Amino acid sequence: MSILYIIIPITIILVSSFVIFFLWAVKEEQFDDLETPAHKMLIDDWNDKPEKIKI
Amino acid sequence: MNDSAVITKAENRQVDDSAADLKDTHSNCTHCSTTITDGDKAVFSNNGDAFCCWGCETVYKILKKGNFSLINRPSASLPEYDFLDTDSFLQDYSVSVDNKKSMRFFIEGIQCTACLWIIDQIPDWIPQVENANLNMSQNTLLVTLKEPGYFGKVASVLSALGYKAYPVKSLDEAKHFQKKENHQQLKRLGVAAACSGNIMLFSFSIYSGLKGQMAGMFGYLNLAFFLPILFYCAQPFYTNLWRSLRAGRPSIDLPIVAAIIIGFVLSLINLIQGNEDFYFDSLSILILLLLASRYFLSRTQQTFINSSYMQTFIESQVCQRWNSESNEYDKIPARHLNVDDKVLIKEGERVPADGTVLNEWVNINPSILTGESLPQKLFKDSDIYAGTQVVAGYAEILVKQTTGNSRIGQILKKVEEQIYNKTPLISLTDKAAQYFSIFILVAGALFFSFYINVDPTEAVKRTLALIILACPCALAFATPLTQSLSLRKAAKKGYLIKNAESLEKLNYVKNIFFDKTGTLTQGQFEFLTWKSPRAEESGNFSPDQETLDAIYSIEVYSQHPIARTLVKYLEGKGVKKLAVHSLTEIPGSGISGTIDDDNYKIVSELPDENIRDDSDIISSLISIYKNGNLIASACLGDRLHSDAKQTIAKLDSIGIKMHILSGDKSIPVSSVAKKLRIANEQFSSNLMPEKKSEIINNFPDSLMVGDGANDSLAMSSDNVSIAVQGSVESCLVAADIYVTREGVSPVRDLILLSQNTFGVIKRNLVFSFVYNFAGGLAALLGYISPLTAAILMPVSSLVVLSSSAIGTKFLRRFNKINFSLNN
Repeated sequence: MSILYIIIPITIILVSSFVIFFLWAVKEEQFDDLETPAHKMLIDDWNDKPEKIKI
Repeated sequence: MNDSAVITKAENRQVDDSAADLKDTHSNCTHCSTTITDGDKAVFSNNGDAFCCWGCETVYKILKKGNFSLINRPSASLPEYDFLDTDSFLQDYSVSVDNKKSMRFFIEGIQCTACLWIIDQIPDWIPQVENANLNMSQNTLLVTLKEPGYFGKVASVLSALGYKAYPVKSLDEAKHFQKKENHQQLKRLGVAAACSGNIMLFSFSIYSGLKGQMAGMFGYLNLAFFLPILFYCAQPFYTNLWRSLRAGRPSIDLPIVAAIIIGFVLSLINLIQGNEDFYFDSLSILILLLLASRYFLSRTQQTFINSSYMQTFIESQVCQRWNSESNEYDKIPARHLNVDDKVLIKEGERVPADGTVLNEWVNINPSILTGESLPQKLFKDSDIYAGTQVVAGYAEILVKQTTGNSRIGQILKKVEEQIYNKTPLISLTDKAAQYFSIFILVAGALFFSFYINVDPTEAVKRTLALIILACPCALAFATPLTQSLSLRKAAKKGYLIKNAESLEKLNYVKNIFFDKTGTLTQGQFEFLTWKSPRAEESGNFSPDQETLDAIYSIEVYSQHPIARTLVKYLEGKGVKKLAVHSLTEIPGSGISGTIDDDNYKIVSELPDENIRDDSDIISSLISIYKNGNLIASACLGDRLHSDAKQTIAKLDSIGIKMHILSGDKSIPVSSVAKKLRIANEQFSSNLMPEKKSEIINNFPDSLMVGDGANDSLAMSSDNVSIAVQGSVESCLVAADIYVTREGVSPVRDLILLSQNTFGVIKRNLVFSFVYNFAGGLAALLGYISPLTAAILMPVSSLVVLSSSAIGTKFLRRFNKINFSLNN
């Protein structure tokens, strides 16, 4: 059972790192719009748009 | 979709003279970007673009043409949106980010990925736009400009694409605060989830029989994980409780906070004493579930529209004021107008201030004040009100009241005041919680004073167990969860409900007040049908071509809106213009002329009330006389929404009283009422906005359904209100619920949704009380060990959760059936 004395501190470190990661993600506004990015994914060349047609 | 995306890869090249040069310069297809290997097979368009095949060339042409037509549509540069770029408007509505102006729009009609794609093309069409960022969960679009002055263009392009765009006021602080609040809630939720998950793990081993030193250590670990929950995550409950106690109304937060604090103290004492009776796990799960359900509810509520409160659009308009020194008209913003200024308003523009007409006559559309369908003719010296639109001719007015003090200005100001002073509804759950918590506290006190003589330690223990167990916590999160599921359901169907409170208010509605024009009817003045002078010849009567030609040729000279409607209709019928002589205007809106020795006279008359027509509202009748004989009549008016009759009948059958409040004249209103079978005393006509609001305030538990600025005052009162599709901005802001689907059947859907939702909530309420009562009783009798309590609490939560889920699922099926019946 003495393995618990190692596992528990590791758990705590893991938990706090996940919590910190989550708080960072919230701060980065990653949860503000949950719908649009899902759609954006479907559109081709979203991020690497080449030259646009000029009209 | 795929092809259209590919087009963005296309390159545009300069026109080259010789085909040989072309073959050399182009190695890639303009449309699909594949390398053109065989130069001889390549296709060249007129302006020198190279394509690998005819298919690419054709698709490219179509797509490009499509883009062209969108951008060049006449409506794509509507003067109607010019006010968006005036300084006074920008001051309130735009945000500066990195020295670039941005404006947020609420967009009506966003559906799917294609909408996102097309809106994303805006920067391509308007080069001055830096980017257009669409948020589909809020239906908002953030437009950033490279150089100022193009917001109006963006709005008109959006309108050309078929979306209605409302600028949203940039309350920087409020917006920022709301965002921070959302983030804060989410953070609390995340921390609570992480901590309670770990508490569950540690508690599990204690429940499975862990004893001794290790158990003690796990207890302290539980405590360590519980502290962030207690001091950070549960904070909103403390502040809510404090607020509700200060208002003198204990809310559902009272029993929650009592359970949290008492449970924590009890567990702490047990921990220090070396007992293993902890409530950390139950409490943390409780807080997690509560936070989650409240977070989901606040996410589903469409509160962002609230922050977009209006600015009187008329104030930001530019108008032309007579300058007596330079003897010409100066362009100034309407807010700088003074009393006794002379202002010129051209056709299509809105009157910027209250005043009197100085020129001979003008035709105005008074719908902003009356909602009336028919244009009104004003003569010299008559009063003209701000916000009305000049539809024919021009108006020169002498300002009597400045824009802010004008009638419409006053109304909009009052609307704004009322929205912020709405009396909040004490929800059913809060009412129930209020009584229940008092009951539990009294019962606890009685038991304690009685049992303390028998066994003091047991008395303390059992009373505390009672308070923890009896907390109707299951209810506290089942209610917001049910509400948010319903709100989500409504949002999917295109009903944006600003807050859950409005949904509850709908449940108590006993009277519904409808606006007529634009709400029950389609709100457009149009040609409806021909009528024969002989009664027996009704049905599909239509005058012969010669008469049609004659009507067109004469009416084309008339400026009257009725004539214009008729001309517009006839133009679609392929009529010829004939030579007309001796044209004369007949006083009382009529015109006569002679064509080939035949004298025609076209006069508008009041419709007789006996017209039997089930779907249309005839508000004007045009009679055509040839050489003195009546040969045909044209009916003009406004069409009823196709679902109006059915909806009214169904609402009537569930015992809700219908009323019509209209600014229109009494004949069209009574004909609508007759068609919808609404009793005589339940409709009123000729109502001004102030009067509408006065009437509705006399009826508690009422619902206002409308679309115009003239309804917004009534909508902002304490009653619940629905704005129908196509409502003006002030109405959208004043209303609690905004419907983006055509017609009035959403009113019925929403009432049904509300009733069903509250059915589920009441069921949960009853279950929760029975359960807690039984639990409390068992606790008092000493049957509940901490372990049983720990099991019982989540079980009750699970039951109400599944009850809400099943209840709202049933709702979905139910609504689907209704929906298919409606259509």
